[in-house]
Formats: sequence, C-alpha cells, structure tokens
Amino acid sequence: MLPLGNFFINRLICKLPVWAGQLRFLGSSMQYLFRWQIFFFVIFVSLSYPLSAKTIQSSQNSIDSVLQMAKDKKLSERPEWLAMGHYRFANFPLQALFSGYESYIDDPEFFLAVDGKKDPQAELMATLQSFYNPDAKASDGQPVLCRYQVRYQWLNKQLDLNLAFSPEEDCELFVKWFNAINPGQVRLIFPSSYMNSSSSMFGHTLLRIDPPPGKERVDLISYAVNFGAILQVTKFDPFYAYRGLAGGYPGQFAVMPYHKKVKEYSKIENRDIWEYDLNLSKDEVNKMVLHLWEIGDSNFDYYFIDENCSFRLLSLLDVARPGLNSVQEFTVATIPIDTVRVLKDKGLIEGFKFRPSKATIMQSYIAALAKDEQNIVKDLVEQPELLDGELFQSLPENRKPLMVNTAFQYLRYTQTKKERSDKAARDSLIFLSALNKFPDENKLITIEEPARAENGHKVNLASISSGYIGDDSFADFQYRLVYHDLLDSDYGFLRGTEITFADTTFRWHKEEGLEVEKFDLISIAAFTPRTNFISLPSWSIRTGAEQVNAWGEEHLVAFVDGGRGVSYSMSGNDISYALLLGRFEYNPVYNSNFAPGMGFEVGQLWYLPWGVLQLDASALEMLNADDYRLNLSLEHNIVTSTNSAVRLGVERFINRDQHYTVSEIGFRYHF
Amino acid sequence: MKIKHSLIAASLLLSPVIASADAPLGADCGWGNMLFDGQSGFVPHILASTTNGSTYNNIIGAIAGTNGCSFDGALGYGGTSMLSMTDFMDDISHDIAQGEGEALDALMVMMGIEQQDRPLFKKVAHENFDTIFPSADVTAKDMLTSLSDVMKDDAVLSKYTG
Repeated sequence: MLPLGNFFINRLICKLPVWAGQLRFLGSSMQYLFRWQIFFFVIFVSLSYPLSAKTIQSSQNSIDSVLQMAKDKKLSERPEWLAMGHYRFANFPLQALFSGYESYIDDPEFFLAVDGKKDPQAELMATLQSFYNPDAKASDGQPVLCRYQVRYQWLNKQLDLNLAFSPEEDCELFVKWFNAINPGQVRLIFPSSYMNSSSSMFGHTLLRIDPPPGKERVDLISYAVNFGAILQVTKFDPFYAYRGLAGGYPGQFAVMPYHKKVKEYSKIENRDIWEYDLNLSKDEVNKMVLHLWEIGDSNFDYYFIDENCSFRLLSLLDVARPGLNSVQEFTVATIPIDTVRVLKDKGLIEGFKFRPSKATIMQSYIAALAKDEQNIVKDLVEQPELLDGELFQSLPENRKPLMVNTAFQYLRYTQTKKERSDKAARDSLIFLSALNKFPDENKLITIEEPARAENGHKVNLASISSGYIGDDSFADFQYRLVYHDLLDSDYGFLRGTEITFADTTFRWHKEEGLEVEKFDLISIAAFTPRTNFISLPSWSIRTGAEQVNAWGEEHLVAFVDGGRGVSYSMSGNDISYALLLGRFEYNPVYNSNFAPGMGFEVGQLWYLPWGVLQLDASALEMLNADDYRLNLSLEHNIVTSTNSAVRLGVERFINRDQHYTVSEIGFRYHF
Repeated sequence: MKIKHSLIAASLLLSPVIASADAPLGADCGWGNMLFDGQSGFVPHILASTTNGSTYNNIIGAIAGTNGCSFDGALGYGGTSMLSMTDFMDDISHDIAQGEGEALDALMVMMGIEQQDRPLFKKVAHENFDTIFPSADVTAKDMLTSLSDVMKDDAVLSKYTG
C-alpha cells in the first residue's frame, strides 16, 4: 500500500468510534479488554442499584437554577473547565472550518454531550444534567459521578451542588484503584537518549505517582503514568515510524508499576533516567489522579512531533494546577526535554534523582578497572571456571569483588534482548555466588552523574554566517527546528550523536541572489566507539535537498544517503570513525537522473574544553554518471555560552570538472 | 496497621498462596518466571522511540491485574502484588549477592519487613544466597519458598512467615 494511502486511511480510522480503532489496533488484547469491560459492566450494574435507590438530591438548587447559574457565571469559559476537557482554541486554519474550541480528545465516549468535543458549554450543561440524573452512566458503565469526580468537585465549589455523593460508598472499583495508587507526590520521569540510537535522542517523559511524604516510598513499586500509542507489536511494520509521525495511531494513558518502565528503559534500552520531583500539593496530585480516572481509555490522536507523550502529560499537570497553562508553551513541536525546562521555569521542579541505566553502571565498573583487569574480566565471562584458576586467585583480594561484579554485569549485558540461555544463566549464577562469598567491602563503586540534558543547549537553532567560495563571497542564514549536530556543544548530550529535523540554510550570493543551499529533512548519526566490551555499529542517515556541483553545473537535488561503519576512541575525548557510504540522488544534470553513489568517509572528532573539532574526508563515486566527489573539511565549534557558539569551517571540494575551497565563519544561537 | 501488614505478607509466604500460585493465578502471572529469563518481545528501536508503545493499554488493567492475575494478595504499599517481584528477580539476586540494592529494598517492603528488621533480613538473605538460589533454574515461586524457609530458621524473621 502506498504511504499516502495509508495516511488517509489511518486518519479516517482514528475518527471512527473508539471500538473500531481498538479492533483495528489492539488485535488479540481485545479479549482482555472485553473481559474487563464485562467485568466493569457487572460491577457497575450491581453498584448502580444502591446508588439510584438513594436518589441523588440537591439540597437547595433545582436543576434549572443550577444550569442558569452556570451560564451566568460563564463557567464553561474558565481555564479549569477548558483544561479538564482538554480544549484548545482552534488555530487559524481550523478556525475557518469550525468556530471556537476543540478538544484534543478524539473520542466521543469521553464527552457527555453529543457535540462535547467542540462545545465546552454544551458539555458543561450535559455534565450538570447527568449529575442530577441518578441513572446516568458514563460510556464505560460507571455512574457519571464516579467517573467525572474532578468535574464534580470543581462544579460543586462553583455552584454549591451538594449532591448526596460519596465515592467511598458509591464507587467501589474507583476506590480500590485509588487506594492502590496511593497518590501523594508526583515525579516527572525523563528517560534520556540511548546508546547508538540517536532516534531516541528526543527522550521520553512519563509521570510517577508516589505515596505522600512521610510514607514509605520504594520507587520501583510506585505507579507510572505513561501516554503512548496503542499498538500490538506482533510483527515489524515498516510504517510504524511513519504512522507515529503522521498520526496513524490512537494514543491512550496507561498506568503500570514503575519497575516495568525501569526494566524497559534502564535494562533493555540502556537509557539513563532522570526523576524530577514536582512540588504539586496533595490536593493537586489527587485532582490529577482523579482526572486520569475520568480520561480512562479515551483516545487521543498520537503525533510524534507535537501531540506526543510529553504534551499529554503536561495537560494532566494543567488540570492539577489550574493556571499553569503549560500546554500553551508548545505550538510546533514538543521535545520531551523542553517539558522539563518549562516545568522548571514555572517553578514546579524541586529536586531530582539520577537512575543510571544498566549499561551506564556496567561502563562505570569497567572504567574502574585497569586494562589488564578488564582483559581478565573478558576471559572470565568466556570461562567462568577461571575463577578457580591460578591467575585469578593470585590477584589482590580487594580487586577481585569488583572484577566478578563487572563480569556478572557484562554477561547480563550481552544477554539483552535475547531469549534465555541456560549457559548464560548458569554462568551468571556462578558469578553471583562468587560475589556473595567476598567480604562486603570493595564490591560496589559509586556512579557519577552526567550533565543533565535540560542544562544543555536548547532545541531550536538560528545561525548567520559568511564566507568565500574561491574568491566569491556569500552569506548563509540557517534555521533548524531541532536539535543537535555532531559539532554542537556536547554538554548534556551523548557524544558522537546527531539528530536534526527540518534544517534549512539559505545562501545569499552576489550573482545568484538568495537561494536554498540545503534542506535536511532529517539527519541522524550515531558514532558509538567500540571497546573491549561494547561493539555497536556506527551509522548515519540523511535525507533532504541540497545544492550539488556536477558536470560543471550547480543544482538543488533531492537525496538520501547513509553510512555504516565503526568508530573508536583513543583518549576518551575523541572519536575516530570510518564508514562505507551509499547515496541516491535525483540530479537533472546527469544523463540518468536517478543517480546512485558509493564511497567512504573517515574522520575524527576531538572534544576540546571549548568545543568540538572535526576533521572529515569523504570520497563518493557517482555510478553511471562518470563523476566523483572528494571532500576534505575541517570544522570547529567554539562554545561561547550554553546557547551560543562560533563555528569556523574550511572545506576543499573536488569533482570531475571542478575544484574549489569554501571557508566560512558564523554565529549560532540555540533557543 | 503494621502488624496486619506483616500478617498479609506472612500469608503470602505460607503455603496457601505459594501452593496456589499455579492454579488460580495462572502461569502467565509470573510465578513460573525463571531467574535470568530472556526479554521476549523484540521492539524495533524506531517504534519504541516514536510511539512508546506499551504493553498495558489501560488505566486500570495494570493494577487490577491483566492476564487473569488476581487482585487479591496485593500487599506492600500501593497495593503492589508480590507478583511484581517476578519482574525484577534478577536484580534481587544481584542485590542479595552484593548485600544491598533497590530491588532488595522493594522486596522487603512488599514482604512487609519492618524497618528495624531490615538489616537482619539483608544479612540473613546474603548469608544464605546459595540456599535461596540453589540453581539458575529457580522460579520466582521457588525463590520465595526457599527465602521463606531461611526466614523460618531465624528467631526474629520467623514471625513474618506465620
């Protein structure tokens, strides 16, 4: 199926009623869902009898006067109400089609009014009416008051409803759930990028609900709140990423024990996690959790760029603390780390904790060993029986525990994402049992915290530069939507990684005027130095359009190129890399417009105290086009502040018909 | 309150719950998880990073227990079931071997071990590592049973085993 076709079909599917979307995407997990829906139904039917028998009554106000009062007070325009319904004021292009408000929730079952998605006032009226109707049920079968408790609490405060309603008595399942979560504090969880996958460089955010201060807290068994796309991972679907970008999946909130998330991020994906303490009060936390309950299984469209995990979590916080309006800070893209920045700016973040990934811990253990000790650890992992060998026995007593601990961790690391191996399991236990026998000292080391991502440079970039091509001068204007290239300050970032998106450079030239020099739609690189212990591939991929010199002419050509190879680090402050390159471009100059190319690239990055220096050489043979391209460049990024830098570059370019030198100096600003 | 807590824990460690681990809770619940189990379900990186797909799609499911696992037997704060422990059994074994760690702390809370008994619990578990993990093929249920046996032999910790 064509991607374009998919796009439209999936957009349509997302607009269908909730069950249709679930059928489409949940596959076999539907069974469970159904089972639970039946379970809920039974629970709520049995619950609803005592509730309706009680006859909810208003103390003073009749329903009509309540509705009138709500209208008079214009409650539906209050930020609290708009936040609870996830309403936004429709943006310009949408405004032309619909007037006024629209909710981010793409699920008719969430709303009590038929047109609740676009009409906050109608939703408010329908809510009040259903509060006064003892038989009113939410879409999932619960009594309306049990599901929409945040609405009730707020409306009660505004309108003095004083309905005879007690969650403890009327909402058994809710109470069970609420008590299990035991909310008291909230933490924002930020799993950072992971080794060798720059596409995770954006990170992710989720929330963790912890018990009230003073109560015993064990993070692993607290509950995490995650927003993600609903999909059933049964086979690889090449359109996953595309659908994530284009909004082909519905998204939902999910609650799960935090250790499941730790396992996923820290153990399987090797991502370090930052846990930020938010200073929400107990009331605010309660409100957030109640709101989560009222959202339930409601679908939101999931968009990777803007309406993603981070964006949705902020909307929860906006309900918890009316007036926070954190969602409004994001219009074009929501980069998870920016949510940390926004919450920090708004004074919500009070402290943090670092949770290193298993790989980070292992690397710290490896780094604590001398070279020959590292080699012994490698041998041990191959042959655990060497523990009883002469060499190991002759080592100093205070070094043995550390080496055995490292061997265990490395062995487990090699088993990441693998099915259970009996041998590896046996060997792992041999190391643990050996570790257990050593005296308690010298088994553990402390793990150093890396720089925090929110203290690194910001996401957007603008730069202005000027230089010479041969004797002709030019000026460049660059704007990049996100995020980080190989030469940008590495403070708070993983070294040897690049991910940029929508990176555009305009060039002004005396003769040719202003033209697009380069548009990188996406550019990703991950150079992970190989060590004795870790041998991940280094790779890069880039697509977009750029000016290319070929057969004596310059043209803007669309291209995709990529490389794969290896990289090493000698001193720890450098990365040398070598890649095989492949390229495909549409070049109107050549006889055959679709031109493939092959070549190689070698280079080195130096991480100097004031910035990154890169020396790079590449050679590319354009197949079927009788052309080649040789590049030699030296670039240096001198960091002038967290968010600014001066970049210098000189490049020598040679092809079949031309050779020239480009030199450039520019100022860069991240914002 | 605290005493009640440890009694629930005790009931779990005692035969009824452990014995019934196969039957009403079902094999999917994790009691049969082995030490150093594999991580099934390979997720392509790009998927994980773009959509953060999650195995629990429900606000309530994870707590009430999907996969037909019982809600009962929930203990520790937050209503966490001892089943949770099956997810980080590897870390528990590592922590017991090295004498300390977060997974071990979580286990103690879930078992209702009171503050003052925790250093002792750590020490006893550490000293009996080979009894608790006699082979690499132990399941979560085996581990809890051996741990319970070890605790029964200790004058102080035996109170948690009923």
